[in-house]
Amino acid sequence: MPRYNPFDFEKLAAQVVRQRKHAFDLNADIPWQVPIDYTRFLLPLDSDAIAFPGAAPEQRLALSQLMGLIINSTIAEMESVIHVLRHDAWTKPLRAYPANPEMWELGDLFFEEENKHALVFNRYNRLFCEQAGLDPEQVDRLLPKAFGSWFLHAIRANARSGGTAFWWVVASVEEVSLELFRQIQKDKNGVEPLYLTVHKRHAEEEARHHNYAFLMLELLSQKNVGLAQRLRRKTDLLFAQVFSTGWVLSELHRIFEVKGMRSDHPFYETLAGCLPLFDKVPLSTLLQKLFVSAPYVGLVLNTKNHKKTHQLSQTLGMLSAPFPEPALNETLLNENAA
Amino acid sequence: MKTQLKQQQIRGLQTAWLQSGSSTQPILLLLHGYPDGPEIWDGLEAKFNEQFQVIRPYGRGTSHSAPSPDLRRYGTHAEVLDLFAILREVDPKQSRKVVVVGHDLGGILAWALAGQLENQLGGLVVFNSLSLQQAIVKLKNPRQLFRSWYVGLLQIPRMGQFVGTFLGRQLHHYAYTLGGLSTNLQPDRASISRNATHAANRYRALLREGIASSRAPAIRVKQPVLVVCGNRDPFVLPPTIDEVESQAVSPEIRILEAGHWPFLEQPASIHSLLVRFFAKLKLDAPNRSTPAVQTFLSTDCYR
Repeated sequence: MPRYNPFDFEKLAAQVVRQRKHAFDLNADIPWQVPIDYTRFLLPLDSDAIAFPGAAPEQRLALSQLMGLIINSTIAEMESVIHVLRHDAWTKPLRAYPANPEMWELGDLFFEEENKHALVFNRYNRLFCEQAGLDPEQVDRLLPKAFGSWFLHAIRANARSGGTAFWWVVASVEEVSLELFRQIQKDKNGVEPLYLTVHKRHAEEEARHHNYAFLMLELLSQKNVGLAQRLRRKTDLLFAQVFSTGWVLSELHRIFEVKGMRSDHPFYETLAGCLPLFDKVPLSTLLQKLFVSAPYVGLVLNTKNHKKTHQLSQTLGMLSAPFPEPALNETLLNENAA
Repeated sequence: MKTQLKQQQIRGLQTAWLQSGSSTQPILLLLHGYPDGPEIWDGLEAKFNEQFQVIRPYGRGTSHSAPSPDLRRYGTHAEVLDLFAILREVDPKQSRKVVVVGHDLGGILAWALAGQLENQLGGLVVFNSLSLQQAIVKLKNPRQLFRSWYVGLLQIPRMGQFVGTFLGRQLHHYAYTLGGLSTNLQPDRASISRNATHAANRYRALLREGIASSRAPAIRVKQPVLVVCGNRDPFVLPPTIDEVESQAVSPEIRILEAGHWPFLEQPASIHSLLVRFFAKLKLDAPNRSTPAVQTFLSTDCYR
């Protein structure tokens, strides 16, 4: 019996009911009218402030806020971009290898909820900018973009040729967002309250529907394909890892654009002041930090942090990138930082 | 509810069926596959014989239904005519709706019959099967061709009799095991060997008929259709949605964690699916026999 059974229609039907019943309302269930406390951290940081060791308290605050906005934007981009791939990665394979109607219903709900999450995160980012006196379009230049990226082109090409890389990416993103909330939750009294609420609502829905990517992977793994495609399918996870890692690293590079904005707002000036700290970190240490110990970034980049995805990939005998064993640093709020 | 064995001469051949349930209820017509007999439906019959009058015909050449020397009597046209005759015998006024259920070769027959019953059809349920046209198209897929190797073997004249007489029990036990049935779920061996001898002729007739009619336009069934497939079926690839939609206006497709006989492997799931499916059928009395059926009956060229 597979771990995620796409053929157990009764369980799937119960999940449809559960998701519909507990779905949150974008406008009514999040207190958008409460002002954002932009003196607070959005994300607790580790003692090295991700990759900026020795950052001063006000720099840690700015880095935490920027990282919070980047995380929001990353999730929002990933959750928006899936709609572009909906036909190639979902409708087409489900029509070619039919599934129970509940799989269709759950898929519809999944795409609907992901769209809502993207709207929620983008709305938070916009509110944050407005209330902190930042130009949202300017901040947007520092945030990751998936639309039009080679990452999207690669995943779409894979889906069009019958690959499952898309669902491996989705499975990883779902796990990351849940793990992320666990880390924020540890300092729930210290982080910005609306940020916490947004991630709480998001995590609750993710917890209910995160198995959908795994169900799709199980289903598609049972699809009868020729030998060549069967062999190629073994590389789908590796393909997803290579392109998603490349995309994340290239998008993180946008932080250097802050140099040109330093005179526009104290927020940018503080961030630009952090860049020399980053330059001091040797490349080997930086790589070790990004893939092993840096919270959030390591969580996204190193798929060994995605335990369920990793387990399923082993069960299905997928080829995977040889990431080092993760050891994420403890995260702390500013006042507790060493 | 008592089950009766009914027998009648239909177009010159002894034809038999099992009948149970009240003659005031809609008809549930259960069509078995190969190498089964109608007893394969015992579980479903017991569950639905109060809601329906259950009719379970013996396929041509199996057990109580006499074989024919004419291969065409094993094809869908001839078998559909036999089924019309049985339905006329059971419901002379044709005043009751018929829900057709077919498995394997019975599924091919069920699709063919459903296309001809018009508004007497209440609904169609197909287990691990395709329509004849779908099956012929599917044979172009190497994976389906590989799964259907025995169809090629049975095209050899007298191979069916040979298999039935000398290898029947072993081969059929192997087929059931391969199809996912544990020994305790497999049908009685005596009935298997009895059924096997002439039933192989159905494969020969169907292949010929399928090739001859592969370009014929498909009749799309307007009534609700439920297609159930086991994901581990070693004999039939599940149809794609496009394939089923070319034959039915609003099909529901179900894939279960099962092999070739999902109704034996997962009786509880199948029961709950059927209860839900039957609940949405409109089973009130149909109009009297339709022109299309009368036309079809008048072209009785297979006598």
